Amino acid sequence: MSSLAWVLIAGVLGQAPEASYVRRRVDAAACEVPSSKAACLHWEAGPGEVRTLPVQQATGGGADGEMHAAVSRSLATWNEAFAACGQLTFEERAPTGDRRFGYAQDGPNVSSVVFFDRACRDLGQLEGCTPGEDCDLVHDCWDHDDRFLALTLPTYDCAGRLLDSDVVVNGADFTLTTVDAPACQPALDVCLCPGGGTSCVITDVENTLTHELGHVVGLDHIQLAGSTMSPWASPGETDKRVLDPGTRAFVCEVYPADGPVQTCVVPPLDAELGRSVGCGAGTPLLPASLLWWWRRRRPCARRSMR
Amino acid sequence: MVSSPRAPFCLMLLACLIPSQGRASTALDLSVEELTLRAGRVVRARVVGTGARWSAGGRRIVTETRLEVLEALAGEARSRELRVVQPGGAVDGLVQEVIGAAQFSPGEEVVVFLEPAGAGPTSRVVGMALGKFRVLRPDGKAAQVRRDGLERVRVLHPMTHRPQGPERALSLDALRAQIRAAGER
Repeated sequence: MSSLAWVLIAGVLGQAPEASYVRRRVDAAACEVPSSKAACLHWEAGPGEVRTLPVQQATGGGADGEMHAAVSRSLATWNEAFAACGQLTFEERAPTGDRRFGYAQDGPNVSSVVFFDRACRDLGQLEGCTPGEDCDLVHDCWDHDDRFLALTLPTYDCAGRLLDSDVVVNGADFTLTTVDAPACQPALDVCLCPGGGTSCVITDVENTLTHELGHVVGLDHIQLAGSTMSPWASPGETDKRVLDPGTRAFVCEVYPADGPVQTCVVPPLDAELGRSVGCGAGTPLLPASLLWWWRRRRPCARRSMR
Repeated sequence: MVSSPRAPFCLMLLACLIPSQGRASTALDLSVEELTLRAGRVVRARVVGTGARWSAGGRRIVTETRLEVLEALAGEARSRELRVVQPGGAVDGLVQEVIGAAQFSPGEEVVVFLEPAGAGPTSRVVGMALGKFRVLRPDGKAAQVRRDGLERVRVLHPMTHRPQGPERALSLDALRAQIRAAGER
């Protein structure tokens, strides 16, 4: 293995600290830029300015008072992190019966949280709409793939500036719960409460929303167990209700209370070597240097370098 | 061949330590059989063009792709040209992105598993990016297929929910045989 490869591997290792995060970037193909120059998504805010992001829950779709309260707790969790060192704040508005989501071209835009408790595919032949396009708006049903629990739909420009970001939750194919414990009991390919119903944790709303709100503010998934932004949530999980250190670091570093919002200044590594990272997501050079020094001290390493 | 007993351990350790690329969606995998059973139509086709527009409600961007049908692998291909609608796209400098949606490039040869999108002639891809294979034609070799839109999707085994390995190429003939076998069940 060449010395350069060792340095690159060390660099990758250096980007997996416990406190880590990955920023979501613009779609390189849609923006016609190389992936190495794809901008990181972010909400704009001036230096020292507090940017308020209005959020509004939609009523209906099976969302009861407990679910609305769970979403409010997720918003409060993020606001607590923002208050500590960031310059964003979620402003929760009163729930509305307007269940539309997506980008309002004539504005203003509010980040909507919309639950669905029935799937369009179960409603038979739908009239007056195109599946995959607007049947959720026309018939108030989950019109996305049945294998997805929740989706965040961001609208942005190619400079990475977020203009709107909504969250839709699939209560048609997943059993949504709001209790704190106990976890459900796995049985074959499902997870059930001992007494039936939703008396235990199956798919926790607060867990789900805390994760999705990370996407709303510009975070991508990270393959790191214990992270709020880990893409996988097993049934009964509530760990993501709490922001992990990496996610908190994102708030402080990307949206610093006393400075400008950080756009991407660190180009991503080659996807074949490691995950793409954003600003402040690790310091790869120090471990790279150490491994380089360690390699130079080993006789076999010197041989391989010749 | 004799190898160092430490080598597999070191490789496993390295594999555990190197984080994979950040991905933005998780999906349960669909086998070729499941894709075929869910699809009303499976075709090998060439991408003629794509275009994004605002949806009927005016709040969502969708991308329409025109396909020239080269071969019907399952179901009927009533016309030589098909239209496929996918969520997300870019219009007038604005981007809406749905991670996991299949992406098409003009000129690309594909095998797609399609389901009707309403009563009209438009279809959508079953399982989003899971239902689109790109056809590769290496010089002097038999045609191969590979799913290529899963870079940002974490694909899990549908039963064990364990992450699947990287996508592997399959011969076009083998894919044809699997589709036909599924269609006959």
